[in-house]
Amino acid sequence: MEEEIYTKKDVVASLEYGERMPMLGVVCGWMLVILGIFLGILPFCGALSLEADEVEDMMIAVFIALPFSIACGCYLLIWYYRWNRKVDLWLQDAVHLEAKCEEMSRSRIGRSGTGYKILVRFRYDGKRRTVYSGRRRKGKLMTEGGFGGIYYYYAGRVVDILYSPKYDQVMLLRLPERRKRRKNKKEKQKGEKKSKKQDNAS
Amino acid sequence: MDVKKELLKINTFLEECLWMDFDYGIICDYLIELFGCIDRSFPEDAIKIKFVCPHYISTTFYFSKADDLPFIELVEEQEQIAKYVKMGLEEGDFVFQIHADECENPIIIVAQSVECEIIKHPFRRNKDDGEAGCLKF
Repeated sequence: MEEEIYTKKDVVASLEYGERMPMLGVVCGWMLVILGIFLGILPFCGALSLEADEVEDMMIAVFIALPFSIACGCYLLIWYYRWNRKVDLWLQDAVHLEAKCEEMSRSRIGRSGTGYKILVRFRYDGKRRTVYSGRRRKGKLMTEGGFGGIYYYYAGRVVDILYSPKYDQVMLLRLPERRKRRKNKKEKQKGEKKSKKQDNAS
Repeated sequence: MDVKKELLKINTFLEECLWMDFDYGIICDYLIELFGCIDRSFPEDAIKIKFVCPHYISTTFYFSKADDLPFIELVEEQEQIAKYVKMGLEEGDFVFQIHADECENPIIIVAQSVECEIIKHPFRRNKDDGEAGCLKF
């Protein structure tokens, strides 16, 4: 039987760093950074054609908006690239396992969202391991934070995980129903490409 | 029979759970309290099982529920009772065997009665939520 090779695209969330950021978040991050740079340049360009009072007003507006957009953009990008870097590292020695997942507690996120903290239990090398979602702190058994909306779909069921024994990290894979949908989509795209090629050739 | 009803209640509840860790709260001559929770580090218990007027116990202090077997059963065959319990039984005694994960022999408790209190049900999503169609990611 062929051993399946997993990439970071198959990983939906890690227990320590949470959910993978969607591409929209990355695009927003870059746009905010670019907007920040643009706002930084703007006063110097504007100063040439505007009067002194107007330049002053613009400077005030820019200096409020500039740090905000740069900070938000950098936050999103750092989150995204750090998540990717970490998952790449963990995937080097990751093992595919079956694990049981249960809800531990829940908390409100924002106005209408609910975040779930989960724990995952599995056997590796004959020993039982329990891993909690959230950040680990030295000398503390319980993790900090670790509430996420995505964990809702994993709580109370047996799921596929990738476990990195070297870094003691757990990564959650796509749920089977999602994997099927993705596979079907890929096959459909392939079929469409093939039929297009055949049409072009004929 | 009340005892059998209680055992059914315990087993039905534990079938819903993917796993459950157990430890003892009280072990004394008139009561054994067994607490079940999702994880020992977790302060909230999910189930409390009381064995009233216990006479005999053979156990490990911490254990998890076994995956394939029912958690608790009544031992009624004399041969099995003689195998597990090395003492005479009194009128009204029940021999309970608990199947624990990673334990070769079952945990044995001889007591007059058993009571169970379900404190917290495990989280289960609505059937409508769990299907692929409404997954957000």
